[in-house]
Amino acid sequence: MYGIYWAAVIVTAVAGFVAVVAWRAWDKDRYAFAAFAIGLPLSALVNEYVKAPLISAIQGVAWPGRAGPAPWGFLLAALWVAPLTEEAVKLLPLTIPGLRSSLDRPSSALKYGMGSGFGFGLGEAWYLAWGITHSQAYARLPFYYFTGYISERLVVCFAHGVMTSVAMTGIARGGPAAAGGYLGAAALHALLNIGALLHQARLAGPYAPSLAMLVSLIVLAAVFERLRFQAFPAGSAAGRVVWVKKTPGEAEPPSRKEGES
Amino acid sequence: MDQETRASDSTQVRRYPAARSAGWFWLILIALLCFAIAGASLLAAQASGSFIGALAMILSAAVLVILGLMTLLLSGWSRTVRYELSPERLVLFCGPIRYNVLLADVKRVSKQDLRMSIWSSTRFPGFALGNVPCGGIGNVVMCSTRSLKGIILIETGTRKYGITPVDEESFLADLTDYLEAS
Repeated sequence: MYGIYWAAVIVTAVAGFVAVVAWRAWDKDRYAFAAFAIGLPLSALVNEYVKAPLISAIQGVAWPGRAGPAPWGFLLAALWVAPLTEEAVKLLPLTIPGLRSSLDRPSSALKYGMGSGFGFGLGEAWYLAWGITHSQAYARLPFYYFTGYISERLVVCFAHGVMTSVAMTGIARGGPAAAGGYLGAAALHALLNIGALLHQARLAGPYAPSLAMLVSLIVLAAVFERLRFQAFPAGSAAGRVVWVKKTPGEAEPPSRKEGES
Repeated sequence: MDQETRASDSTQVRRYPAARSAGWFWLILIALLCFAIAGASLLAAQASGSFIGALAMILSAAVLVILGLMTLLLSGWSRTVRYELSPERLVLFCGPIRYNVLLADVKRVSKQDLRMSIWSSTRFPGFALGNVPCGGIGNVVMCSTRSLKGIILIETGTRKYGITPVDEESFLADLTDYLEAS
């Protein structure tokens, strides 16, 4: 087996472990699992049948003949192709009627978004691995040459989950927030990709993709925490007060379930 | 009683084992993953053409081996979590670590689901130890075989402790009796 496929197996094992832990913590939500399963093949489909033809078409208009350095118009368009198409296709699980109708709370938006995004990220890891097997330079390398691939794909799985959660949260709110959520997700995606694009365009050194990913990871972690706090606010968890120390002059409160009057 | 609760007449110390969990298994899996990646790093170091590259790989492997060994150690400790309750104090044990909670300092006892935080801590599925940041309530000193769900939270004036005895009702009944008397 190709070394890159072993690397993809490691990514799958680690991302799968995290996904199972999160899924169990979220009460084994069946729609979150469905979103994850639907997300798995979407990267291959959108890359083969949407992004590639779209970039070719843009290239034909903005950079015909591919002579000289790439013009800014083409670079800007190329920067936004992946964010706009991928963030749209990751919303495909919304076509499940039950999932769409239960997308009425921030917690469902977070679960379904993380599910779809994580599935997409994992599928993308395998799609890229498959692409690498077609490269003469990399196909025969052993798996331990791909530690960069492993760490990058793990970060990207998380990133896809957060970005899709942003879009799903906007859709759950409805109205203009739906468009805002989608565009916000696309903007985060563009931030993640900008380093690689600048490097490919020879406008930045080889450090640019890693730097952009580091900055994006910090931003995405902050966004994820915000979404999680909205989805599961303090005190929302089931709780039971068992005993409270009485202060002088105060009656002991009865044991109660939180949220009950 | 279906739990291993023993009372000593002389000291009135009651011992409560922690609820069972598969935390030890997850920790072993994580340790194996650390060792596997360390092995891959060493193979990459052997094949590396540059001295700096090889050095970086060897250092990474060393860190991963240390992490793996620590995780294996935690896996062993996770099987030793237990609690001792006396009229004066509650002592939480995990391996060589112990936390003393004076019952006179306790202000509130509750059972609740904790909210996870992304901040790093010794918190794994089925096992949590030491200071663990939890969303909304700050740091909780955990000595438990669950990390989030159904945690008995004991709050003193300065700290919160999270525990998971196997027979919660019996433990809570004894604890509240002692708290009322303290």
